[in-house]
Amino acid sequence: MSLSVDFQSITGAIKNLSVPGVSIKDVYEVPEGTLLTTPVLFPRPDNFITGFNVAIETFGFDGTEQATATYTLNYRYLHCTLGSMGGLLYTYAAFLTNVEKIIEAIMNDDTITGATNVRFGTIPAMGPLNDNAGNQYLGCDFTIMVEEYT
Amino acid sequence: MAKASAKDGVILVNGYALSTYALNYETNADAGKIDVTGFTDGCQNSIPGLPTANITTELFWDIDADKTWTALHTIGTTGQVSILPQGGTAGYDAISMPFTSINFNPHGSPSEAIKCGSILFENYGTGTGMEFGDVLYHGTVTASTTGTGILDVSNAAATATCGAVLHIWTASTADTYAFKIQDSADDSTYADLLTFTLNGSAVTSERVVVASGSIDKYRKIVATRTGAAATPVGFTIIFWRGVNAA
Repeated sequence: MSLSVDFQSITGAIKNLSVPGVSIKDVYEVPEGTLLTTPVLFPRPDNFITGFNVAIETFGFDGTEQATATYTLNYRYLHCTLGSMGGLLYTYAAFLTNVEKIIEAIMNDDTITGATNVRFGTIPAMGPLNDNAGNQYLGCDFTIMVEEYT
Repeated sequence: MAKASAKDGVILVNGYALSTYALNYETNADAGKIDVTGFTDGCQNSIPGLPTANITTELFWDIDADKTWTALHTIGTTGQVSILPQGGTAGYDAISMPFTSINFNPHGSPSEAIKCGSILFENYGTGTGMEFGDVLYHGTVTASTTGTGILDVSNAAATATCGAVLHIWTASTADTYAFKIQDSADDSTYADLLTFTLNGSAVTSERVVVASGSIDKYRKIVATRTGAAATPVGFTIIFWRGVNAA
């Protein structure tokens, strides 16, 4: 036995969430520019993993001890370019609907079981947000709280 | 040596190696004081009464074979519990106690791992409570093995009662073993001192005691294999000399 963490299982499970109308990306397909792909939910390449902490909980050494790793995964949802489709009057309600669907999909997902707990965290930002190329969108940041028992 | 980390601690319950499930432990040896304060005494006076001893440890839940569920769920189980506070290095101190288990209280909450609860082991039998001794061996072997001689902290022989605890935590699937402890005055010529009846074929523990006699200052273990399969046996042997000796 040895201590281990597994980000990819979690990002893979999030990619496989079913949110109609939203393209969900894994860590190996983070878009640099999203002009043609919105609405899109993707891992934030800047500070994707934050708050990483490992708490050793039992006796043992050389990886035999049991520990809990806790961390936060940061995702960004971009709904549409700002000023497009007739402005906020026409886009904001659909944006909120998709935000709601994403939250519900994460909260109801049971594909990750056993030694890992995945919970919806917070919405630290909502409004004008950039893609990785600097284009501005109507969007929303999500945090997902992860506990892994090793 | 200044402070010592507890992280290498070893917790053995009837042979089950539960260290990597234990969140903490606490041992308690109590003299059972009796108040003998007289009317004219200037302060309260006490003398030792009937000692009490218990060990408490909190553990994670695991239903796999030979893990915490198997080891702990039957309340009233009797046997041997041993704590090796600094790990299994030969010569390090160890704490043992014949026990009966008092409780088993699994609990959990949605955001935590399931735990067995804080398990209380109370002293049981005709012993004198907590037995403070030394680790003579802690490890896995596949052949006949002789341990290194461990010098008593007093650096002297003594006439005293003595005892030892054997925990088999990895049972040999084919070979059997004879386990014994020998003592020596010079770490060269050894004679048999204590012999266990367990043969290493099952996860369990055994405590043997010698009422009183001359015990030399060096002690070592001898494990003699019968068979040629070289299947591993994991075991721990703890020796103590004198009541509450180190």
